[in-house]
Amino acid sequence: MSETVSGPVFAILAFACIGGAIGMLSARNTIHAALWLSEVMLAVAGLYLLLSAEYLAVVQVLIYASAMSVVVLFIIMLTLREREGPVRMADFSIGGGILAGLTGVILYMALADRGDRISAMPVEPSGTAALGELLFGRWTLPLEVAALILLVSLVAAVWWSREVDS
Amino acid sequence: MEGAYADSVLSVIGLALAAVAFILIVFLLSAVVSPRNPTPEKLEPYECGMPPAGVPWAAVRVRFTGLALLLVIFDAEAAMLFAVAGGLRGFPAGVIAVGVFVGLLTLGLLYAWRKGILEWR
Amino acid sequence: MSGLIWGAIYGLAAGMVISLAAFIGVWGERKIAGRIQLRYGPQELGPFGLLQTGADTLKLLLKEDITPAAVDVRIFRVAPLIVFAPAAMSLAVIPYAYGFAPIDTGVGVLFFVAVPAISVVGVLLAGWSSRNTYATLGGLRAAAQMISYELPRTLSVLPVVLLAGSMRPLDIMDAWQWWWIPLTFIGFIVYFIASLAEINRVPFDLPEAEAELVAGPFADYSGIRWAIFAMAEYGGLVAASLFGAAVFFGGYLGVPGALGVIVFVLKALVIALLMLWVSWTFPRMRPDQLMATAWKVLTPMALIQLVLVGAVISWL
Repeated sequence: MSETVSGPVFAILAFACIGGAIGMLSARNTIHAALWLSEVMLAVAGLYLLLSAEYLAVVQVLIYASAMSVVVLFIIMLTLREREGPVRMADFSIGGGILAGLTGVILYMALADRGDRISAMPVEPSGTAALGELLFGRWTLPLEVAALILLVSLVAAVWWSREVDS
Repeated sequence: MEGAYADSVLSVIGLALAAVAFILIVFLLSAVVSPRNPTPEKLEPYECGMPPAGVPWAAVRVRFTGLALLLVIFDAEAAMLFAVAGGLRGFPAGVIAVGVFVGLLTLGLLYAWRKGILEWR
Repeated sequence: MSGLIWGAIYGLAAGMVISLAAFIGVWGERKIAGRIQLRYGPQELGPFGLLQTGADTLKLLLKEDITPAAVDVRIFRVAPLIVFAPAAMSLAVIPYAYGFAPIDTGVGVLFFVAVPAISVVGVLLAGWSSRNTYATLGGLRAAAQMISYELPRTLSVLPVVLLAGSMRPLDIMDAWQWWWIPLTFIGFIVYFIASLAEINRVPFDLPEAEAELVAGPFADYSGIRWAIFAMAEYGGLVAASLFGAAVFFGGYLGVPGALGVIVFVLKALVIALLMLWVSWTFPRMRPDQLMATAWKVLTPMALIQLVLVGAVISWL
């Protein structure tokens, strides 16, 4: 893609991402926050699209922007009693600081380690077909392990919703 | 990455923008031609003339949350199936591998069924 | 750059197609409903009452757009967009003619099932933002129904992808063979029923039940904002019938040139009419039947179809 086009589009999507994240953090109403979160998910899908990862973009929409958003909204409606009261805007406690610092360090280490690999984009986007062949050719075992992990999370989900019901 | 592919990526973004723009145009048109004279009665929530009792934003016991969680898990399964579906033709070993994958999650569905999550309560 | 512009053109075109489809669809539906219920349907305005929808549209445009005092204004205004835009977008990946899909992407089929799923969020928020007990509960119910039927709908198109060996709609059309029709018929039935449920049409219109309840999540919407929700439903109907006609019944194949497009649209029209027929013939389901149908009937059916097609393709 030519630089002149992808540049502005990237800028818009990045702005939508960061702006949405700020919107989510600063929203006083939790449902608003959830809506901002889905906006961020959609903007991230747009970024994937820009990186020619169309499969990833569509999966992002299917799982995060729709299914996860519904789960988040359901859980907010399930738990919050009074939505009129303001949510704490920011948490300046020591625990929050340590958590933020740790996240920053991990992010920095990941980027410093992989930086050169991220900057080198493959010339030709490897298609979804290639991904599929890899998944059941070389990565058959991980695929089955993924199924097991999904199965375990399913059992947890079933257990959790029975707990909520009773 | 010149040419048709980049165009198709951008056109998805253009598509989304235009779909939103279309509605905004319709809204604008309506805002121009429609009357506007609100009265207190008009602005009440639609509850057949009764003043609403209580705040509707109280906690709702959303019994469907479990179903939504199931959907997330099965959507992840479906996404993986779509990824592998493209290259399975004439590849029995691959079909069996994916069959095991689907079988495991079908087991999960049966488990949820047995535990009564799929009932409407 | 041209991609952005073409996408925008397709987006506007999709909006217009949906408007036109709603325009003709409302008239056709009222005519068919009338005949099914032994009456005439609209017949005063224009030949065969054709202009009736025009008058209705004008009325909806001219109606006062009330934003009740209690609503959460920002979400109330944004919700129609979240419901409508995905329906319009899903029209763009359908293969309309030989070698032509407005947006030709390698993940077209997944795009078609994934993008309309966003509208669940819009429906849920439309109900919630009205700050009205009935609307909120209606929104929750509608969302529960839509997420339940999303899985069978997603799985039902998978057999075609398995057979074609690609998710790109144009590749599927190239690979399409007539014997896929009997082979994927179970999948089509699942797709048909799940699509009906996704667009809240009658056997599955519990959340709305416009005749008895007050249109569920859309109770507090009026005028053009309400019309947008109705249009999104028609958009969903059009997209579902077109896509079904393409991947399950070979769309434009076998007929050359522009005639192919006509054949394609006719096939889609048959599916759409079938949907209307079902809507006006069957009584509404009970909520427990609704859930049972999605999870205990359609999902297993889709899985059986998958196994069947998997067995076939492994020795193709």
